Amino acid sequence: MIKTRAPLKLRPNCFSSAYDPLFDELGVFVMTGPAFSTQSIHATMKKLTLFLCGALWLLGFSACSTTDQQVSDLLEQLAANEIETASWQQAVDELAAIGRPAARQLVAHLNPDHYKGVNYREYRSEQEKLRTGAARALGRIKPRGATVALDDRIVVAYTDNERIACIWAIGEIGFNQTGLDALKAQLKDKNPLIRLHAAIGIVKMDEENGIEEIEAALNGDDDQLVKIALHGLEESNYFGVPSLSRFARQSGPNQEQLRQVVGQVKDQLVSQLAAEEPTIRQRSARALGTIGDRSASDGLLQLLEDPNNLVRFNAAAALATMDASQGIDFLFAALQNEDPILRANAVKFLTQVQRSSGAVEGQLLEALSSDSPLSRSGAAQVLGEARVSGAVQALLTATADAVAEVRCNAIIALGQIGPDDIRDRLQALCEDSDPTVSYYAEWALQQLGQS
Amino acid sequence: MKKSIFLHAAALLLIAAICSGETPETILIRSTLGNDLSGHRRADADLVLSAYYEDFAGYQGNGNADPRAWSVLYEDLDGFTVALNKKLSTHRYETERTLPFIHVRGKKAMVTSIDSGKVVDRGTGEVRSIKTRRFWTLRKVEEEWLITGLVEALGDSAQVVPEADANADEIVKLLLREKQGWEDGDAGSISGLFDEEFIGYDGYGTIKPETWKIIFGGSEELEQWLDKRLERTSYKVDRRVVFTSVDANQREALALTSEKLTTTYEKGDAAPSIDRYVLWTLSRRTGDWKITNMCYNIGIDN
Repeated sequence: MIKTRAPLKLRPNCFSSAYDPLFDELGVFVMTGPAFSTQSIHATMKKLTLFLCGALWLLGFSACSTTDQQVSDLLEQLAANEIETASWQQAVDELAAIGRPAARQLVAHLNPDHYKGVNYREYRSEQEKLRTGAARALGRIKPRGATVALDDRIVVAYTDNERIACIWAIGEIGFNQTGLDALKAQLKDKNPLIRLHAAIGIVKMDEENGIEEIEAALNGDDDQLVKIALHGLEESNYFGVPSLSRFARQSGPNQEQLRQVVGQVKDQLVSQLAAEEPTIRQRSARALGTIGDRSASDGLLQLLEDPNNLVRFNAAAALATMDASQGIDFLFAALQNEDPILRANAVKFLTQVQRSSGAVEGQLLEALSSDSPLSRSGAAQVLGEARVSGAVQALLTATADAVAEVRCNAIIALGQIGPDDIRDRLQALCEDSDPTVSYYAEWALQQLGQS
Repeated sequence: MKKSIFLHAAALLLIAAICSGETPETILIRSTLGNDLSGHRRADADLVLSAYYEDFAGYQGNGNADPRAWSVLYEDLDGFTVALNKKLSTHRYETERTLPFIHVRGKKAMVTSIDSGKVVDRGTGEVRSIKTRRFWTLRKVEEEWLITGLVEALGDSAQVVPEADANADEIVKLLLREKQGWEDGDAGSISGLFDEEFIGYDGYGTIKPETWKIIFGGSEELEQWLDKRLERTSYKVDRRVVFTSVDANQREALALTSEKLTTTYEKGDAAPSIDRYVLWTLSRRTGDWKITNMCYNIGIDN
């Protein structure tokens, strides 16, 4: 109903504001004078706030209902098309593109109890199309909360399509203890396809429990399993790189394809070096070190200036593994840094590099004779942690270092490496003037055991 | 003190019930079916009848799980009351009841029970051992669960069935009208054939009610589903009514249809089809026949 506004009466010398009932529902305030009292300003603000809240609520509500409708339409498209057809895949793509606002409805469609009442579907195949599509979309949206609902759908009561899609989605969402446990349970399934998908899902969670399943598939003669294993390793991104690199180095029937996958993963990792998320940059750098392809050096070199410590160290370690001097220099420079955190990182990463490639043994031995006691101390630590047996003589020399900390770390390293012919020297060090040195000399003797 | 002991005992019972998979609804349903049993044991017809809803109907399963062997036993509560009073006056019931299966959805439930024990003829003293399986449907009215349907002597497997016929013309016509509603995409004409409180089940291809699920609890829910479903799909229903059974007063009926259902979609090329049997029960309480129960995919062939 349209109301007619009465003319507003202005009292002389009293500028007023008036609230027009016509706009009551909209909360619009009509100002009628050139000056306002404090009260009127407050009232105006209140009305304006109410109006804005109302408008935002309406906007939000309409956006939500539009998205819900969009999701419902796409779910119908899933139900109306066979799995893997272009239209079905298009619906999955569009649901994934909607992202988190679609997740609630997608999770609901995983549950068999959903298909009752207004959501009833006469055909089991319709449920399969919906459940499989919902799982595929959820795997791309990656909502953490979906894992439990997905876990429940990977058991034998569901079709292979549903199980595989849910297993894949659990892996894509990433580590979650219940998800990992559910996938591990599927490693005992009778169907090798399910076992393989579960193993790939586990790799995506940075665990290696099912790696034998992937290896068996790659060494077998079932082309479908080989294809799935290769694709799974490629999808596993940096988490799959240690296994992928190992498989690619071994002899086997699919080496050429494995090398191709390594190349594809490497390209992916290089592009991820520019990722916004530091964890992605860090893990990508580390994985590139594992692959050891020097063509990735440029991207890694840039990361030596990264604002994030761990990214810098991972990039340096990757470069060092490739025997690139910039990476090695970075780590050795950090070894003599005053900041104990940077030194600890340097020890950790140099140990990794030495263990994986042996690329820094020479520099470590040199560092034992460095002028910097921090450098000598750190080098001794790394040589011990990496169990470099060729360093025994140099470490024995370092046990006579003027600095107690260097002596200490050299003794610990000798205890870790454990050569048998150093007992006399260690016995002598038990009488060292520094109590810490003598303590660790005794410890190292214990490590060598009774002879 | 007494109150405290009572509260503790009640809490312990509740915890025990929760641990055994019971819910408040299943406890109430057990209580209703307990009243039916106790009433029989005490020959207390009022106690028995307190468990029943006014729109009640019962069927004789004749020891067979195949509905083609079933017939109408009680056309309504009055028929049941007459039979009950007669039974209680002539027989004494010394029976126990277990409820191996209770499925609840909203305000509708289905239950199977096994009664075992003795029935003693009050006149001759003859003792007869019984072991009988029953299928029950219940409806929650306010805070109480009441029995709306019963299949007496339900077999646990399909036995040989005498040649079934479908000669109840009114029932056949109604079921063919229902089919036509599907093919016309007319939700209103379909839902209008259903009783307001009807229960819809999916049998998932088995004949055992323990594996069935309630999918619709009333004609309103069915209509909502039909509105949504028929907006986006088209149906072809090749239906044949293979069995009907109607009581002498033409008030209660059973039917079985065999049909091939094919669906096409507005949004895609899939065209799934399914061959299924559907079990129907119908009542004529207010002049027109209305569908009171419908079970899709009942596993006659399994």
